[in-house]
Amino acid sequence: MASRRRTLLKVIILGDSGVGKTSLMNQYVNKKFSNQYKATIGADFLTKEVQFEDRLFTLQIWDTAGQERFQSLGVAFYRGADCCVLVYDVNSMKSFDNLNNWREEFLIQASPSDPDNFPFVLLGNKVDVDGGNSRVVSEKKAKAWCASKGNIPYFETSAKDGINVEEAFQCIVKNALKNEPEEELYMPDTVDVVGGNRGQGSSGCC
Amino acid sequence: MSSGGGGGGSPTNSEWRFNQTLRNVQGMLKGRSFPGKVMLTRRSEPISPPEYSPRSENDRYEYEQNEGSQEVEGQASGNTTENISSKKSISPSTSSVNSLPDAQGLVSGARATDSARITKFTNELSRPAVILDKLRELSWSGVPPYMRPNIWRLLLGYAPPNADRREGVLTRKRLEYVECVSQYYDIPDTERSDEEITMLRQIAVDCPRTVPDVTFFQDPQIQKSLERILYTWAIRHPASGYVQGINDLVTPFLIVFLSEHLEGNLDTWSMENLSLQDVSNIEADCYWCLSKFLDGMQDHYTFAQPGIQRLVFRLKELVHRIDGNVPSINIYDSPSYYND
Repeated sequence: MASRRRTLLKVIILGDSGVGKTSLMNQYVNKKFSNQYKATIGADFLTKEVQFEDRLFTLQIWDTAGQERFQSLGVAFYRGADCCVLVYDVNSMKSFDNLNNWREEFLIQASPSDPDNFPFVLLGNKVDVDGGNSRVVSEKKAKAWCASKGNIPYFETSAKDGINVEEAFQCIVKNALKNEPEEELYMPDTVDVVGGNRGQGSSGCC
Repeated sequence: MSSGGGGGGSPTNSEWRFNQTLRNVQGMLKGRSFPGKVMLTRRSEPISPPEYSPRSENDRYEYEQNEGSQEVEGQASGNTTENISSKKSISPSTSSVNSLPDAQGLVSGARATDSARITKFTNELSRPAVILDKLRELSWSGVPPYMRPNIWRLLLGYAPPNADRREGVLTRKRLEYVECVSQYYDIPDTERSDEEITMLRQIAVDCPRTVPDVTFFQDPQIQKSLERILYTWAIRHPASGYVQGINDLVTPFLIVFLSEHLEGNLDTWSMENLSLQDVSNIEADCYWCLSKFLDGMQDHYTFAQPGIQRLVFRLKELVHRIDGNVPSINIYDSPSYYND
């Protein structure tokens, strides 16, 4: 590889416990849904190869625990993030009200160089539940919040039915790249532990 | 490690390094004064879900029997080929259910040791005052499943070693738990603080996510018990409160204490076969054992989780000590990171 342009995009998913962070990640990466996920302890991540404007990226998606207690361990995970995905459950007002806290906490912990323009994306998940009848946060309300925070892109998703998940993550990739510095980064050589298996490894994810 | 992984190519050298690694790990474990012997093998253990079936338990016994009294260094040196091959035939226990003839032969072999062990356990347990150190040492290589309820209660310091006092203490503790539940749990939300409501909500979110792949745990009565245990514990431990993951720590206790009252295995269990008094006692035992268990590691769950930070640091030190010369690795190229 002659060019050492950055190919890794780090994305953090934040939001209250049980809003569907793990499910969204798994729906996007593995195209699978299960209602048998355990609560996420600490954090976990999955990677996915994505193509954007003829360039290949490794998207590293960090799934975090929704409970506040784990935020002390979060600092290490937040740093170096290229985009932060905030998730709430459209059927839970509390999870929507907490979005401010999640956003602020992230900005404090990750301390990005330009906090005002750091890319966030908001996902209102579980739109499938009860045919939308148990919904308590309106699209209008969510969009108003996004507008007040510098026009955060907003998607209404269902990790269960796969609604809007692909679209949301495409937007996430696009926004993560917005933050890309103009100059090329210096990355020292790393040890390639699997040698020629790279292609094989990446095909295992789809 | 890949073949291109730098120095240490000669087999004797890697052998030496491997033994060194084992000794280091052993030393670490000894330093923490775990009683009994530590079993380490060269092959990596298959990652299996928590073992609930009695069968896999048997396998464990056979496995240990085959190990004999071999020290870890002895196995690692590579001159005990016979031992290693006999191990191979049984060790991936959970997956090979259909190897019936093999298994039968081993079961009869295992019985001899099992009965000897059971005699030892029975002797220890029948003392007027159980010597916990002895019981602990004996338990290190495994407790026969049906003896677990009693032995766990003793080793966790819930049941007193003194046999005369045991029933009385358990009765009193079980009652105390019931009173705690009525005092803290069975109250209207209006009497709870905002913090307590948040905590109860978190517990309610996590209960259905506790062993979600085993239907038995979805039983409404089990779910309710789990919620009461967790909430009562959380209220009485305000320094940490409920933290995600504690729910999973209750499940072994539930299984063990339910096994005292229910026949067969988890798949056939039904809560309908239990009296309300049984359920209440089981729940209380789970609560107290969870409490005793967490007493030793509450700082894993307090603010900033110093206990976990300490363990991460220790792991880092250990890895550094063993693999100090491994340079940075590009984890994104490793296939294991693409698994689901």
